[in-house]
Formats: sequence, C-alpha cells, structure tokens
Amino acid sequence: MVKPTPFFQASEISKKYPGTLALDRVNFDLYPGEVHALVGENGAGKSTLMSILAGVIKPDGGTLQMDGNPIQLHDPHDAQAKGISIVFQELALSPNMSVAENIFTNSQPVGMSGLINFNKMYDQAHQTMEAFGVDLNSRAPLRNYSLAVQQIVEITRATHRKARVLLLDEPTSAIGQRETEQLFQVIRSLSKSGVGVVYVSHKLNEVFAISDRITVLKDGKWMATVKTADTSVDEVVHFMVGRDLNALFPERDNVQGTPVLEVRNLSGRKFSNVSLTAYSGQILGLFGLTGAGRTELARAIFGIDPVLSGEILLEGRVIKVRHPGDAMRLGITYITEDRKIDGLFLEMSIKNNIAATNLEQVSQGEFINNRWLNRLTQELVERLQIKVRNLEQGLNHVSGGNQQKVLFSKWLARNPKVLIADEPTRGVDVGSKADIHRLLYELARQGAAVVMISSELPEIMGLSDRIVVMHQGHLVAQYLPNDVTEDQIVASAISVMTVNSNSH
Amino acid sequence: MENKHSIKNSTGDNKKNSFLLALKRTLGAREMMMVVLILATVIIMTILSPYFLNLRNFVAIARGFSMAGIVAVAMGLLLIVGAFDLSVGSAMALCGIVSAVMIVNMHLPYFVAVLGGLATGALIGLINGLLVTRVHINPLIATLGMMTIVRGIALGVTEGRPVINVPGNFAWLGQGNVIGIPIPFIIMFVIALVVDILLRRGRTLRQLYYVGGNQKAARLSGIPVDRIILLSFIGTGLAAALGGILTMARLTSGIPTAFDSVALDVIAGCVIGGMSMAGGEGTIFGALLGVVFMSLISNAMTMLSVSVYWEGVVRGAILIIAVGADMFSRRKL
Repeated sequence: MVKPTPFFQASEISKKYPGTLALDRVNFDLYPGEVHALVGENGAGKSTLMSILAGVIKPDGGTLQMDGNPIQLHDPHDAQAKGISIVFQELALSPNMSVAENIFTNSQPVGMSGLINFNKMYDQAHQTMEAFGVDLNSRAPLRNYSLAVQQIVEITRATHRKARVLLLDEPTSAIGQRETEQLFQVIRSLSKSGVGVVYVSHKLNEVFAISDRITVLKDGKWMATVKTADTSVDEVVHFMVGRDLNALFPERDNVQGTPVLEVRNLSGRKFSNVSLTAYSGQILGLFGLTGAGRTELARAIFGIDPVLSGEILLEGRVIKVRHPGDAMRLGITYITEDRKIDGLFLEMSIKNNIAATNLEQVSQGEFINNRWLNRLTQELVERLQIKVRNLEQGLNHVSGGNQQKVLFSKWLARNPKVLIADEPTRGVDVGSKADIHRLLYELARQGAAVVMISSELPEIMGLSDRIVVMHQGHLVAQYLPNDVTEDQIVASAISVMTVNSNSH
Repeated sequence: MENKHSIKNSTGDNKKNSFLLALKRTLGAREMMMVVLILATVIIMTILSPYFLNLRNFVAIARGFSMAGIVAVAMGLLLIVGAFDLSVGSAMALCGIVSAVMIVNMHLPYFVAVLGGLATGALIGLINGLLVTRVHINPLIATLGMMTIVRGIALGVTEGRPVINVPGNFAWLGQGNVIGIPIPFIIMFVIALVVDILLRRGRTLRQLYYVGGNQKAARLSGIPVDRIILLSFIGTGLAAALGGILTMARLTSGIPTAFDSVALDVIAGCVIGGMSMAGGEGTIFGALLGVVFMSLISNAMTMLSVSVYWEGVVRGAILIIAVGADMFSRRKL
C-alpha cells in the first residue's frame, strides 16, 4: 500500500528559541496512507516540529515540500488550504453546540436561501461519523459524548476539509484503552483512504500498534527513522533517552506494612460501598477504566467531594475530612490527574508552585522566609532531577515531564503519610516516567502508604504491591501482582464477574 | 544553617532574594513604567502650567486621590483573586450617609457613627462575597446588582437629598492635616503600606495569588478559596465605607448621588498599574501608581482647562493604550 515516494517532506528544519535550539536540522517525510509516529522525550522537539508542519510557527531554517514542490506555510489556515490539518492535544471544540455544528464549523452546507441547511448538516455529520463506526445523534450537544468521541469529532472536522496530511498530537492522552481502539479504527480507515498521518505519542505500545514507521527525536536532533516492523520497544527507548531503561520498574521486596489508610464501606457521588486498606511501605495499585469511580474515591478521601456514607480511618482512628486543608493537616496528599487544569499554577514560577502547599513550612510566623523557600525548592529540584533554568522559571516554559515532577515535589515536600497519585505518569515521557516510578517506590520504602490510580497496566503490574480494581463505582477485585495476569485484571475491570480472588 | 545545604546548581546561588527579585523582574517593569509616566506628566505640566508644581496643588491632589486610593488597595486584592466589585461607589455613598445620619439625626458619638458606616460596608461586602462564593453568581452580575440596590437604598432613605450639617470637628477627619499632610492621605498610605508588605511577604495574603492563578489547583492545594474570596469582598466593602466616610467628613455632608464612576475608575487605575482582570498578578504599589497617574491626568486637564466633557476620551485612551502596550510586549516575548 505504501507508495515508493514520500509526498510530504520536511528537510533540515531548524528552530531557534532564546537559549535553546529547539530543532537542529531535522528531516521528516510522509508517504500517502502511512502512519508515521514521532516520538521523543518531552523537550525533544516533537511539538515544535508539529507546529512547524501545521504552519503554527515558522522554521528558522530548512524547507517543506509537497509533491516535490517547495511550499511556505503562513499560518494554520494556509496549511489547511494546502491539505495539512492538525488536531492538538487540547481540543478546540464548542461543547455546547451540536456534534454536527462542531464538525462543520465554517463550512456548513447552505441552501438556496444562503442560510444553513440544518437537516442536511445533521445527516452529513451522522453519515461521516457512522463511516468511522461511531453511531451518535449529530443534533445532540457535543458535551454529551465522551472525550474519545470528541476527539474523533475533531479529527473528522480536520479531515472533511480534504486533508492529505493529518497531524495528531497525543490523541490518546485523555482517553482510556477501549476508546483508544475506537480511535485507531478511525486512523486506519483514514490511512486506507490515502491520508498520511503523523502520530505523536508517549505511549510506545500505541505507537507500535498503529504506526508504519517511527521517527525519534532527542534534544531537537533527529536520531533515527525506523520501520515499526523492524524495531523493538527497547531500541526505540534507547534512541529516545540515550540509555537503556532495563530496570524499568524497581524490584519488589514484599514489605509487610501496617495499615495507614483504611476506607470502610465508603460511598460517594460516583462510587458506593468501597472498602480498602493502604499499608505503610507499600504501593496499592488502583486500576479501572475511565469513569470507574477511582478519581471520585480519591477526591472524597481528600475532602474535595462529600462522603455520603461509610468511614475513613487514618492509623486506626476515624477521621473527618471536610476540605483538602483537613486532609493535608492529617498527612494525606492527593496528586491530581490533570496537572494543567487543577494541579499547577502554570503562570507562576516553580518556586511559587512549590510554596502553594508549603507556605507554613517556609514561613516564620506570618512572614515567608525566602531563604527557606529557596532551599526547599532547590532540594526538591535536585531530588527529583527537575530540569529547569532557574527556580524563577515560569512553569509554562517547562516540559510536561518536568511539570509533572514539580507537581509531585509540591506534595512530597509535605512528607505525606498517605500519597494518592492519580494517573501519575499521564502524558509524560519515558525518562520522566521511570523517575516518577522510582520516586513512588522510594516514598513507599520510606514508610508512606502510596495509592496509585492508573489506567496503564504495565505500571499497575510493575509497581504495585497489591492491586485493587474498580468497575462502575464498585471495588470488584483484589489481587497480588504475582498471582494475576494482565488479562484477568482487564477482565475484572470491564465486568463484574470476578470477585475477590485474593482475600488479602 | 545556610551552609548545611550546599547548593550545587549555580543558577540557584545568586537568587537569594528571589521572591522579591521575581516580583521586581515580572511586575517591577510595570511599576517602573508608571513611575516614569508620572514623572513625565509632572515635568510636562510644570512647563505648561505655572500653577501645577506647587505644594497646595499637590496637597489637593493627594487629598482627592486618597479615598480612591483606599478603595484601590482593596479592589487590587479582589482583582488578584480574579474578581472585582462594581458596587464600591454605591457603598461609599450609602456608608457616608449612614454615618452622617447617625451623627446629624441620631446624635451618636462619632466613633459609633464611623463603626456604623464601616459595618454597613462590611455587610455589603459580605453579601457580594456570598453571592459569588455560595450562589456562584459571576462577580460582574452580583456586584452590578448590588451596585443598583445599594444606590437605590442610598437614594431611598435620603429621598435623593444630601444629609448636611455634619459638625466641623468631625470634618477634621476629611479636611485636616497632620504636619501638613492630609489625614485621608495618611490613612490611605498606612493601609496601602501594610497590605502591600503582607501581600509580598505574608503567607496569608500570598494565597490570593494562588486563588487568582488557578482556582481549582488552589483548592486542591488546601487553600481555603471561598473564604479568601469572601474576605476580599468584605475588605472591599470596608474600604469603600472608609472612603465614603472620609469624603462625607471632607464635604460635611453625605451625598446619595456621589461616586457613580469610582468603581470603574479604580478598576481602570489598577489595571493600568499592572493588575489583570484574569487575576493572579499585580501589586498594590502598582495599582496605586495607576490610580495616582489617573488623578494626575485629571488634575492636569483641569489645569489646562480641558473641558470636562472631553476628559473621558483621554482617560479611556490611556487605559486602552496602557493595557494594549502590555499585551503587545508580552506577545513579542
């Protein structure tokens, strides 16, 4: 199916920013009908390259060619006119408008009168989505549908404008595994029709599942372009980080801890009758599909959402947590799953982000002691190996992996007894991912009870001392990682068949 | 103690006072710009008008600007948390009237009358704050509604007539000087200084920046977001009351129709001085400089006998140019 010559080429692309060379003579090409994955650690230059290919920013050097002719992209609109469409990680949709209106933004079918022909628009939208295997009501507001469907709507919008090149930036960062498969079907059907797809993702398993070729960037430089069929995850990781991550997960050492956090018959808005125990020195893996009630459970424990019934015990004593401040005083911390929306203060410096949860620690009475704050920040930057220019650097200029580390550090500084980490490695590059895994492990080793909410099975299997699975608001299974297979965990996450196979 | 933790990273080393340095670097630029603009206005006016550079004029400017300055300090706090209050002008009028009525009609002691006015302001602030944090009404709507209601009460209880004949010894609060400095200015200066320092260095007021920076993240960081917003509104109500009472003392009468442009003027001054409607940035010092600059411009136009009808054009243009220039410079970076 892959034709012999690439139709879209970027040669010797360079982009300079003050202080850094974001891209250094990078080459990239795309065949019709091909899925070409672009991988690299955060800060490797993927986003910059994508933005250049989409006409969002202009390169300082190098050329773009379409069908052998050099082209200039003045802005994203111009790129679209030339057949290049991009779908960003942050969706650009209007959730209150109908699905159809979202697909046909600016290109609504009009009738004789010059007014929008709504029936025609709804029908067309329905047909387009059906072709992708998504059956929905195109008149309904988009917010009624899942993130995955919204993603597909965004892709549909991009492609119905006769796109030949489709750029996808982390399309699965916010959706679950099953929904990812739905998205893949859409991508496959697009590539069958001849569209060349550039796929950026941190999730290497996805990259290997969907792509034909893989290009690796590191520190703004082109490292390799390989055929997916001829390479391995290890090889790609090696290109990405320049070192082998052979010990991807730290070794488990069966710590027998004492119960720290106990939840008894707890019910909240989206979960009911959940009982579980987190032990000191251990990592409790909490698995489930998106919407299984894991985040809601964590939010209730942390005092964000109300508890409807049941009780929470800390070190054997019943506690009442009315708001996050209560939980924090008791030594419970919660690292939210979306660092951008409710985790960090992106406009502020690294130091001020860390200060947010540690004002007490760095103050003498009412007054903040800058020396203490600097020292605390410096310690955390070194401990977590956060790559920043200085402590004043604004967080929005820092890569995703480093942002995630800052998010962790603002909570680690409190020396928590209980650390609940919600999707701790979402949207994080492999290098930072390994760092965060090591960190969770060390934290547990130092005596904390770690609860890790994750949708990534390798992480759950590799890191947890015990595993619990939630499904539709209920806790449906508990396992020891050595006694269970990935398939069994998934089976219990999607159905209620399995009951406590292990009573521990 | 310092040396116990050796700092390997050289970048962190010369950043001793980095909290202040950061403020200087990011916000100081705007404050510097305001200082330059103010000086430039003073120099130009000195050349253009013989009456400008003279102590009397400056004392008059200082007295006139003090009430707005007090309100600006509080409005600055509200803007930092990402809110604002349109009802301050109405609150100034009503609180002045409440105090005046307590003095003139009820013959209560002055301090009771002042407390009565302040309590009225605090109550208005409390209602604003509850509407925003509990009922979740947008600050624009909540304070717009309160602005209309409070103005209505002020007009209703007085039937539209000023409350006059406030005794001369109470007027000292608004008219008097201590070593040549107007009393309202001294009050404003002390409030501004304390709040500015606490906002830069105090951990309680520091939380305001987090609330304005990312409300959700602030809540998850254990910061009592609603309480902080509520208290900011109450503070603004109190500041408006104080401004209203001082003006009442200065004019020896409570005027129900006064202060109708104060809210927008103060917000404009704060924004010119570096605050953002989105919250999370700016300093009290900057906000005050913005308000000072606007007062100077008003004074300058009066001196140059520019018709008051045209004054609005200049004030509006300054607001748009100042914020526009800032947006432009940020985009370039």
